[in-house]
Amino acid sequence: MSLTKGKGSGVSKPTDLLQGTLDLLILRVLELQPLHGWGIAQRLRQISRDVLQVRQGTLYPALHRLERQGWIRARWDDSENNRRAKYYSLTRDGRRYLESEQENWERLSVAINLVLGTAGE
Amino acid sequence: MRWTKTFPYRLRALLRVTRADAELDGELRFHLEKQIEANVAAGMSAQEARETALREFGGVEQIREETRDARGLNLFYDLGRDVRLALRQMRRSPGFAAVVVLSLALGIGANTAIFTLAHAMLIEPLPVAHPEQLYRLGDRDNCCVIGGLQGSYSIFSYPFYLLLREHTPQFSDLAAFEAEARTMSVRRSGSPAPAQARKGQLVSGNYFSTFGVGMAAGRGITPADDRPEAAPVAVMSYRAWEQDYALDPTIIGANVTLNGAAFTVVGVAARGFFGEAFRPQPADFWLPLSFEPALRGASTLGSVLDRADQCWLYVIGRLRAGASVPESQARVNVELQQWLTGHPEIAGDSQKEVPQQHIVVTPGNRGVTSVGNQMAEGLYLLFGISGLLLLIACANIANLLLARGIAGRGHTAVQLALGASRGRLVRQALAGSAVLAFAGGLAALFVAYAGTRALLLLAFSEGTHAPITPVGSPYVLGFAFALAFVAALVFGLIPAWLNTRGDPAASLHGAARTARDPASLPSKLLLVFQVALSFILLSGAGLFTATLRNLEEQRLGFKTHGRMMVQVDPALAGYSQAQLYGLNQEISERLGRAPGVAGVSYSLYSPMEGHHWSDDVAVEGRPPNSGDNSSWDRVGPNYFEVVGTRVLRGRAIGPEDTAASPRVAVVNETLVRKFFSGAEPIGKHLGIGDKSHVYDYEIVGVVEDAIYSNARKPARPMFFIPYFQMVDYGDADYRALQLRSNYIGTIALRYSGAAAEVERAVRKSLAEIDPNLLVLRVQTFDQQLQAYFAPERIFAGLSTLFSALALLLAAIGLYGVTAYRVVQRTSEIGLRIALGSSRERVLRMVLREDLQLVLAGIAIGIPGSLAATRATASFLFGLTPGDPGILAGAVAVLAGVALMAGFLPAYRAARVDPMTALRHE
Repeated sequence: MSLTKGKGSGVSKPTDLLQGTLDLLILRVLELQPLHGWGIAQRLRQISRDVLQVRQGTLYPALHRLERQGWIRARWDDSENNRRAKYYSLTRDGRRYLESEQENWERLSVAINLVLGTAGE
Repeated sequence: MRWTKTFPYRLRALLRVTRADAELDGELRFHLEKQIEANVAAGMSAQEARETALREFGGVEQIREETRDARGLNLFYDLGRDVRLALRQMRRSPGFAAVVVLSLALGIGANTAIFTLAHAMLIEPLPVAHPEQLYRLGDRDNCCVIGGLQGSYSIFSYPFYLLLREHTPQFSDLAAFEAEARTMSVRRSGSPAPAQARKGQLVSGNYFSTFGVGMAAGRGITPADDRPEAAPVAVMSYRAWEQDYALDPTIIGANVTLNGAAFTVVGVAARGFFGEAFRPQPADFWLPLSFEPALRGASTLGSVLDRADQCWLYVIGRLRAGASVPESQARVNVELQQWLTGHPEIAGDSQKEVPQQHIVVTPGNRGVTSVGNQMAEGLYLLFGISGLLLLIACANIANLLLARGIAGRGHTAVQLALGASRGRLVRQALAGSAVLAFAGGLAALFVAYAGTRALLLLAFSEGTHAPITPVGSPYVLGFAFALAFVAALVFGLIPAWLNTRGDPAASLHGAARTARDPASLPSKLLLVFQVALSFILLSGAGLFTATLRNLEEQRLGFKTHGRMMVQVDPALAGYSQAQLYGLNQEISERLGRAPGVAGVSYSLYSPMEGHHWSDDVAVEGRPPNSGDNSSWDRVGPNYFEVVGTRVLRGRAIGPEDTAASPRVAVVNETLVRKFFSGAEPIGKHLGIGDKSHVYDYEIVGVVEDAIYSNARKPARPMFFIPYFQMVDYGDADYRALQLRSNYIGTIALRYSGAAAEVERAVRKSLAEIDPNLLVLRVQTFDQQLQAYFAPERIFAGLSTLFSALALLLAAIGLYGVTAYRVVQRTSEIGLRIALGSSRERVLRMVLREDLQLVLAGIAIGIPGSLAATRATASFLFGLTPGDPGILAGAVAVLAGVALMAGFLPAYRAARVDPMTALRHE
């Protein structure tokens, strides 16, 4: 799996942190509204102002894994111009998981910022 | 993650892997199209938009693969692919697959066939209600009628059984039954058909209710039927109903004549019920115990029903809920002690031993198991033999897989280098083994089917009605496939592990050049192991074959060729003593005139029938109380000539020896040696019974020793007396026994021509004499002897067949390993030849290494064989487990096979052209 940052080279080694992060981002996007895979990728890109680009090879395994874990569910539905698309939406479990993970993330990012902010001084 | 929530998803996905894949494809296609649209919207041309989108998209297959992984059902999905791959591989190398599947089929099939028998005899509980509540009083096989003390009491008299039944509240029911089903003469009343020999068993009135046996028709025997004044009734087995009466429902309420007495059939037992013990010949009829006297026909032996000193009944009870085994055991032992104290005549002179008499209460869920126990040892031996074959087959397959893995190492290296995980490759290899094992297991079912039938035929030469269906039970099927998959693990894991080991880069650079081969040592070890096991099997085969030969070629004291034995029971046809003389005369005359018959005689019993009559004897010139015991037999004129026993001195028993003539006896060599210390016995006297009978019979002749009852033991002292010569006995038992001995048991014939035709003529003549005369069995003397040696024949035959297979497998393994080694060392051998080594030296070098492996195997095999065959000592005759001749023979055979298997590759090595060899790779 690779999470590509901007137009630069891909992150070479996937880590649990990154995987967990992608899950978090997908769940967060789906919290707003049900979306198909392409929509999720687009939305991630828009929200992150082109910083985060998710490859299909990363996105779909992640979606299926989240579905298996019971955090999101999928349903085929008509898309904008009447084409069938697979829409993912957040489950109750997924919402609860997102909330707890979001808190974790915030605590973690505050902590990292603290470290980064003070380490040089 | 909640398993219960995700499970349906997993299941659905597993069941519809392809559907899930299709969904994913749809999803991806949608994504791609959206991307193209987006690109067009951003101002690209249609073509450009498409190409860019595709490029960004990356490898679809990879996405699919990773998504499948994410779905978490790759294990199953891969399994399907692995199995398909394995099937493709099997098709690519059919020879390899054939060797593997065949050797597995034989190994698993043989084990399954033996398991089928073992399961029926030793494992399966009785097909009755709650078999686990059943307990047997006693733990021994004391069949069939015995008096005196038993130590551990296992067989009981009728009066004692009645007492036990009244005084053991721990058992809700206590049933008694005859230890063995007895042969009876059976005719449906009013039917013109001749009497048939069927098995009947006397059982207590509560037998069917205690065991909880269902009825296929009618009712069971009840306690009300088990009274002397009750109307005589019988219950028939389903098998008899089916085979003898074609399931005729009118049989219920019909009369049958059993041993001349009329019984009314009141019921047919449930289909699966074959009695309370495993018997090759289960009961066809069950009758109430009270009718024991009525079934004696014209037999002069008194009824044992009311005798406190004659034990003939096994007892099984249903333990009451809440009662414990120790409690019930304590109870029955109190009863036993009181009984023996109250009946001092039972212990006789051994009153001191009464306190040691006891009863052990044992589980009865399988009924009386002692019948199976006799065969259990033989079955364990067969298990050992077939287990060895399966192990050898596994070792051989492991080696073949290893060799194939080495050949395919380049391929494996590519797979590893391309990032396949080692676990994945091991799994793939194991799936291959599993497919092979499954195919082997399927083929094994056919082998097991044929093998079970063959074993039954061999073990019970008279045929059996025992409830054994080849490959019939789910346990047997389960056993076969469990064995197959254990085997797959055994032979699959080692090569799978070894073949995926090592550095892929090194393998790709040319494994053949590396001097040290990681798979070479395991391969050699496997081969040594295989040779060692083969050696054990081979030496076992030698021992059993030699045993059979020793047994059959020992001086038996009779000749079997061109002789026929006809077993009859005139007592069951109701012949009285007064009619017997006429019957014997008629038999001699009529059968003597039958076509193909060259000589006729008769006796109470003939050699190798499996039983004999013996008694305490009084011999002239012996000190009193010497405790002499001898076998004895009544024989007609010409008897020794007809059975082929030589008369050494004096005369044989002839037509001149009648009831009115002086009483005479002919003795065997062992009797002369034991009781006369080898001195001339002719003119001396002996008799059956105490010393008052010492002058009853005058010895007129000596015959050579003949084996009558046990071929593994030296001949017993034995003497022969003419029919109808009688002695006065005060004791009623002796009187009855003497009268009983006047009935012909076996008619002995010399014949020429086809045995089947002679048998037909003999049966016809006997039916002309009297259609009621019950013919129990007709077989040639050869068959009678073969039936006696059936177990030995099975051991010898099976172990020889399996060793031949083991040798073949060892040869294949050796050939493979040697050929591989030679290919690996082609350049080295070429160099040797180029440097002047002679071709013979190369040949010798290769063969020497081959032989070293085999000798290492033998070195392990010899102690292994000594340990393994020690357990078989009781099956051997005329030699011991460590017989040096047999071991040497096994060494020679194995070495010979090794040389033959190694010769072709060695020869090829010696023919190596040095120039080609040096250019190799």
